[in-house]
This record gives sequence, C-alpha cells and structure tokens, in this order.
Amino acid sequence: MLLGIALVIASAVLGAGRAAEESEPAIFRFFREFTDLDERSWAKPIETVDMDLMLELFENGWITFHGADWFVVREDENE
Amino acid sequence: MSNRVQCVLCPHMCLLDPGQRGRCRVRLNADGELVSLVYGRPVAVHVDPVEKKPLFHFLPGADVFSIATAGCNLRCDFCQNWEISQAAPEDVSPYDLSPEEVVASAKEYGCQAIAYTYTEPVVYYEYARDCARLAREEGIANILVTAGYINPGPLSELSDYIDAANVDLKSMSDEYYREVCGGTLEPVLDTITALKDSGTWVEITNLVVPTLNDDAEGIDAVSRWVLDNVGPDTPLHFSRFFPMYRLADLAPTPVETLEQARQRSVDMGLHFVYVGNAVTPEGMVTRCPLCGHVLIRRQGYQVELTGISNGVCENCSAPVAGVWD
Repeated sequence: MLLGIALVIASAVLGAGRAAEESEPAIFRFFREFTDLDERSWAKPIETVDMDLMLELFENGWITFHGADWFVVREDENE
Repeated sequence: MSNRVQCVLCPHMCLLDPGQRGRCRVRLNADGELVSLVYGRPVAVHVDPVEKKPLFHFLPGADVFSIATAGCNLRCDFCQNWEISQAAPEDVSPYDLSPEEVVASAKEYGCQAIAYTYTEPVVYYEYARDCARLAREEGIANILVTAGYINPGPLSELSDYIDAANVDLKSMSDEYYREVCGGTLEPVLDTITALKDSGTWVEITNLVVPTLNDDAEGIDAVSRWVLDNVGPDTPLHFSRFFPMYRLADLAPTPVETLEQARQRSVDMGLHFVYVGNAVTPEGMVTRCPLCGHVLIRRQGYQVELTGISNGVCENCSAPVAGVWD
C-alpha cells in the first residue's frame, strides 16, 4: 500500500518535472499544484490554455489581450 | 523570476502561472501580465425593457442596452445563461464593440441605460467600467446585474459609475454557494451592503430552486437578511426556476411556492416583494406600503403606472422608494 502511494507520488513528481522545464524543482511544483487543487475544489478549475491558439485568436480579433487591472505580481513562489 | 500573477478582482484570488487563466476563463496570465480576453468582445447585445433585469423601481418602462461577454466566476448548476457564462471566449462568436460604440448604440436605440448583464460583469470588469464611465458622461445610466462575487476595492471603483444594480442572493447558506454555485456567501452580502451604502439603487433576486433552496426556513433567512441589512424598501424578486444546465431533470418551481415565499416576506415586513418568471395575482404589482393603493401594474414587460406620480403615491402622497425619472 505504502509502496503504491510512493510510486504514484514519484511518477507524478517525475511527470511534473518533465512538463515544467522551469527552474522550480519538480517536487515543489508537485506539492504546490497538489495544494492548489485542494484549495478550492468546489470552484471551477484554473486552466492552462493553448497559447498558440490564443495568439491566433488574438490576431484574428476574436479575443483581446487588453491589460487588466486588479492583479499583483507574485515574485515569491511560495506565496 | 516566475512571472506568476494573482488576480485580486474577485474572492477566488486566482494564482496564475504564465499561460493559465482564472476560474472565470477570461482573464489570462500572458507572460507576467494579466490580460482580459474579452474587452470589447461582447457575445450578447440586446435592447431589453428594464423590467427584464429585473428592476421594478428604476426608470420603469425604460429601454436598456444590454451587453455581456463570455465568462463567469461562478458555476451555478441552474445557470439560465450557461451557454455563454460557462463558455470560454474561444468557444463563442463575439461582436467587436468598443465602449464608444456601446454608448453610441445605446443612444441610437433611444436607451436610457446600459446594462452589464446576462453573464457576470465582474469578469469583464475593465470593459464594463470603461463603458459605464463614457455612458455617465453622455447622461446614460448604468445597470449592473451581478452575482456580487467581487472584492471590495474593484467594486468601490466600479460603483462610482453604477446607478442601479440587481444582485443575486442565491441563498443564505454558504454550503449552497460552495456546492451549487462554486462560490461563497460572505462576499456577496458585502457587495450588497457596499452597493447600498454607495448610493446605488439596489434590488435583489432569489432564484427559488425546488429541493435545493425552496424550504421556508431558507427563504425566510433571505428575507430577514434583506430586511435587517438593506431595509424594507429594497425590492426582493423571487424568481421561478426552469430546468436548465446541470439541473435539466428538475421540475420548474411550483407557482404556489413562489406565492408563499412572497407572502411570507411581505408578512415579515418587506414592502416590495415580487415574483418573476411566473404569473401570479400580486407578483408584479407595486402597492403603496402606507395605504395599499396600487401604484404600478405589470403584465409581461408592459408597465402601467396607475397610481404613482413623481415618485409619490397619488392616493396618500407617501414617497415611494426608487428612481422614477
């Protein structure tokens, strides 16, 4: 049982590490995403978009990239 | 540098990595900058009577230029406009309509007000605000039809330009908000009181959904909160549910349930309680709270001002709460 859980976590961490290709260590990313998922499980999920599609739609005038107000930049990964 | 941003527009406070969009589906982190995907891209544009919002004590009979973009920060199982509110902007064909064109169109169609409605104006905040600012300059009123799920700062800025609002108060149960709507209750209550305090004309709608929020206790809790927090002159609309979206198998709200809800609220002390999406004898009639004289009769969206002039009862001269001209 414990071995199974460990394998699931390990595979998720390795998977996240492959996908991220960022400076953030995979283990941190995994636990952050895991926490994010739990935080508002009753709300709609946050989605990752296909940026190529977004840019194409923007160029066609279907969507905008209009600067929004009311956001803050989070420099600290742990915030 | 992570380029992570946090949207602080609504209580979800979505924390977004580059390439992610918020729960509303229309606010995207584009390389460390939050952008609106729907500014100037409404997916619904209509001229409606103000009674459809519903607003019964604000410019009765007025035509209202009504717009909506895709997106919503809630996910109500009963949503009546889910095809656009739950859609991503790439899935719905938009118009290209700048704020200047919105205001010009409103004038062209002889509308006294512009309504930000159908979906959730909070998620197209910048567009609604810029339209409202221009409309105000042109002497056109602004109406917000909202679920009220917004943070106080953005609300304060927006409410400077808003003349009237209809806010959904879906239940007094936080569990209901979480389970059925994907939100929370407290911010909605804060929005209603903040709008009232800002001088905005406020009316409240409660959609009565069979088996979910149609119990007498729950309905009384809504009426009690309205009475105690925004006063007896705040109109309350009990609206009939029709099978929709994730509740397509549920029956429509029985008309008797709505009539009983209305009567209980009137008995509690609310002066103006209405029934929406159903025909009942008193559900669309406005009576003078002092003498009981009929002031306004409505049939569908037809309005007949039978006993009110210049905002006072023609029978007893009592002032009637509202914005009448």
